Amino acid sequence: MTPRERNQLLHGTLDTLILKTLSHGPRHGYAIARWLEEETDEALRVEEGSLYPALYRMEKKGLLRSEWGVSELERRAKFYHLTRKGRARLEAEIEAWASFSGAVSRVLGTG
Amino acid sequence: MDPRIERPSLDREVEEELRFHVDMRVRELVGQGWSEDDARAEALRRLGDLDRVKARMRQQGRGREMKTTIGHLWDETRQNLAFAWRQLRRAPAFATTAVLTLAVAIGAGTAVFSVLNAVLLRPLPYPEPDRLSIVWTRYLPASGFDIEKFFLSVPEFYDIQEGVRGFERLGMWTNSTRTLTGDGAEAERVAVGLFSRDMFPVLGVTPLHGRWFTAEDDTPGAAPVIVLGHDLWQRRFGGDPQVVGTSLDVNGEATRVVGVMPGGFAFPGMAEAYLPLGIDRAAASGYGRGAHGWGAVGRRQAGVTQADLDAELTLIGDRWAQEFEHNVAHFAWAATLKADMLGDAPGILLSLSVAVGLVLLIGCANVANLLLARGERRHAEVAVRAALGAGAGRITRQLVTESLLLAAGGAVLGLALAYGGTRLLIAMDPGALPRLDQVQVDGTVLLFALAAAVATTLLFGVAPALLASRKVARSVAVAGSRSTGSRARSRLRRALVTGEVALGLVVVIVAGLMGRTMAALTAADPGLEVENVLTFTVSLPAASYPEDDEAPEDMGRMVESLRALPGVTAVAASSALPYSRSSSRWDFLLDDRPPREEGDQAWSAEIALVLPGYFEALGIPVLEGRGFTEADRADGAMVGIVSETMARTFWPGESAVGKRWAYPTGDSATTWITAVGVVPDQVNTRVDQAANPQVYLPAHQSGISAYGFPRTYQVAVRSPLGPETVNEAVRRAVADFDADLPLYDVTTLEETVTAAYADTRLVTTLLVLFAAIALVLAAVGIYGVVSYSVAGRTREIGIRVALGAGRHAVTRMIVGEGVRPVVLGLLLGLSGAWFARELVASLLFGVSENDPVTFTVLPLGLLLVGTAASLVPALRATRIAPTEALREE
Repeated sequence: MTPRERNQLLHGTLDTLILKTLSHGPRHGYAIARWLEEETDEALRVEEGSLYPALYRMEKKGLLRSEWGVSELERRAKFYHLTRKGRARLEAEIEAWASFSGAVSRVLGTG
Repeated sequence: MDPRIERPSLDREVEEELRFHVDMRVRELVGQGWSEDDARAEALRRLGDLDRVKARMRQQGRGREMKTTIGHLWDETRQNLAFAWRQLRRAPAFATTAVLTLAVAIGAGTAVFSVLNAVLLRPLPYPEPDRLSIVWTRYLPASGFDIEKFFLSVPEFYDIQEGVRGFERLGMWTNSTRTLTGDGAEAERVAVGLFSRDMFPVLGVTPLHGRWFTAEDDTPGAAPVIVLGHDLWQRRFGGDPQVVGTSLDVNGEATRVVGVMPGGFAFPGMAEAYLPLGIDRAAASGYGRGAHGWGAVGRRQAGVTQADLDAELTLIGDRWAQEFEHNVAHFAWAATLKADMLGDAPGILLSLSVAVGLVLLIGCANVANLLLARGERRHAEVAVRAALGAGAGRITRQLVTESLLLAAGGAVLGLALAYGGTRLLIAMDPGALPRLDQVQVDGTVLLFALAAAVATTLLFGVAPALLASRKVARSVAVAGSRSTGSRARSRLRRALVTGEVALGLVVVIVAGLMGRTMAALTAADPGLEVENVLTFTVSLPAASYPEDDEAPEDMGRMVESLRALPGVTAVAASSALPYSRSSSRWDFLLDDRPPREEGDQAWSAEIALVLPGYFEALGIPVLEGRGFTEADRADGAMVGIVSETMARTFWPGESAVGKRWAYPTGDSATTWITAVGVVPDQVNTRVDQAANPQVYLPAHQSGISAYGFPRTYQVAVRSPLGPETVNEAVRRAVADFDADLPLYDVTTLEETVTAAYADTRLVTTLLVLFAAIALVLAAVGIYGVVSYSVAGRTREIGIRVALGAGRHAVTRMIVGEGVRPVVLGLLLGLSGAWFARELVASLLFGVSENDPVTFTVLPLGLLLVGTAASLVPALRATRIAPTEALREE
């Protein structure tokens, strides 16, 4: 995969991954970026430039909420957490992904 | 996370969030051994095009902020509504009074506006209705008549049709009645319009079925055709389109149905079917220039105004005056069809609108007063909320919400009242105003109600709310004690009372003048006994009664059979009963005068052809000479009876009995008629219309004057048992006389008299109703202000009483303070009423527009109401024990 193709694939899944990241509890933007890097072995390296607009967009849609608080290093930081709507969206995405990837795996004979 | 950290502005938020990210990344990379500068460069590189990222973040963030703001507003509104609802429920007396006051004011206003809309604003049901004009003639007093609006003669019509270029087309019409038979259904007498060929193209209405008449149909001697009106078609033919092409007997003559008009087409007013007039240019010369019985409606050329038309008609009138020596002070004039149809309605509705507008204002003033008082009472509550951190804007919004809630309640209830009110108006008398039957609360009116509600809210809701919020800051400091603004506010409240009383007095005086007018109309001596008289009209068709001069004899036999009925005491029959509005006016010559010369006043009088026993049956006294007897027949001497006005006009200062007059008949020798008696003037339309000279002739002799015997009679049957009781017997007796004779216009003389005053009664009833509302509202307003001021002064009153002031003195003081704004309002109101009386001046009868009784008794009455409204709270205050009063606060 070229980086460009990878990014396209990522774009659709970025929202889902952010939701998943926040399902463990409130985090600030940098923590979200770090978590995505570690969990995906940097295979799905987040274009950091699209992470923050995505966070703002998702907050507008009501999937996330944010508050300013104090970080673990005693600095002012903006923390995001899931709303009830966001949590429901995550569950729906997981279910859709499971059935989609299951179907693709069966067709490819890898499942 | 710490909730105390406030969210920065969007721009700063974006900057700070990205700076945090970069700093954290730099820290991580430095931990991996990068140099500080390299790490920062790498962190920024990973974020990409920073300006673009920031722009996208800000764009999304703005959308988020807007959504949040709307959400907050919605939440706040919901909270405000819920809070307002709880507040209002805690003050049910206040809420009920305010909502009811608004409902009554808005309801009355909406009802009157509904009527205004249906009667005045809605266009006539014709294409381009503004281009339609109706032509009448006028007689000025110099002509011997004083008639504002009279028909044209046929030659006059053709003069106008050919001489006036402002008309694209001009049609001629007249009213008549016809008996329908020969289609299996019961014989029926219907009002018809006789229309010239041009009438329908002028009006521009296409028949629903079939066609309109052609020029050939409207030619003397053409095969008879009829076009049915929608109501008649529904009623008699069950709305069957197949009726077009069938045949119907109209006055016994087989007539083909060629068309059906659409619903809502009603010209002239009562017509139920339309027949060709059957007059053409060639036949016009057969009609006398002095025989006025035809109307004309025309469609003006595009761009021609009513004023242009008037100018052309004036020229025609000048020509008549030069060419025809008998044409004295008689000319044609025109009005738009709508203005003509509306008649007095605009004036009547204007006075009602003004009155209802004043009621609306009074209602608003009252609610404003209530809210002001409430706002002051809630002083402490507002102060506490302000102290707890509610901003002034928030508190204002809260108070406005409460006002809006009241207004909404008032509007909804008011609309219900308006709906019921208009139904009631129509039920009261649909004939009182033109098109009153079409009144309905529609979309326009709904808008009016909403506008009224919103305007009212702005007027009474925002002002007190602003006052309340302005004192918030001050009130925090001085909570618990009276703020210095209270004197200003109490002045405002007194001013509102003054205004209310002033406006109320205007409505009350106008209503008083109309009430006295109605009383005068009711009490006026109609010159005959109207009770217990059944009236109907009957026509003897030429088909069954071929001999003209035998018609009065046949009618005489019918009258005899009615007189023989048990319970019937007397029967009168005439070509025109009093109040019938259907009178003919004939010119005559006078025996004791030289022939008229050019410029002399024309001699003429209304005429009624009557059967013997007429005056006795109607209770009309013969003042001088004698009434008619059975001896006054064709072979006897020609006699007539004249009215007092006739006698006074033509033979002033001497007895009319024995004087002679004659109706010019052209070629034959003059037949002189001798006056044998004088009777009081009879009312033809209403008692407030000036009486015209009137002449009565025996029906049996009238043919000799060459004006023809009457075939249509209005019959009055007097029975002490009451008209309803003898109704059936009368119908049977007429059926026994001739089963094919339909009775029509069956009613009672009392009802006819009552109907004549329907518009005055409607205005009077509504004005009196509005006056009553205004009075109640003013009383509530005065009571509210006085009881509020007393409640705030319990302590002061207690001290006065404790110091030995007599209860009476304190009562006098409180009442005096309450009455002062009332007296000021009465003085203002008197001057207002002085102008407002012009609104009804033209409707007044039997009472001067400066009526001293109305202008003194009603203000005194209002003063009494004001005193009583102040006295109640005053008495209550002085009854409180001083010790108790001193413990207040």
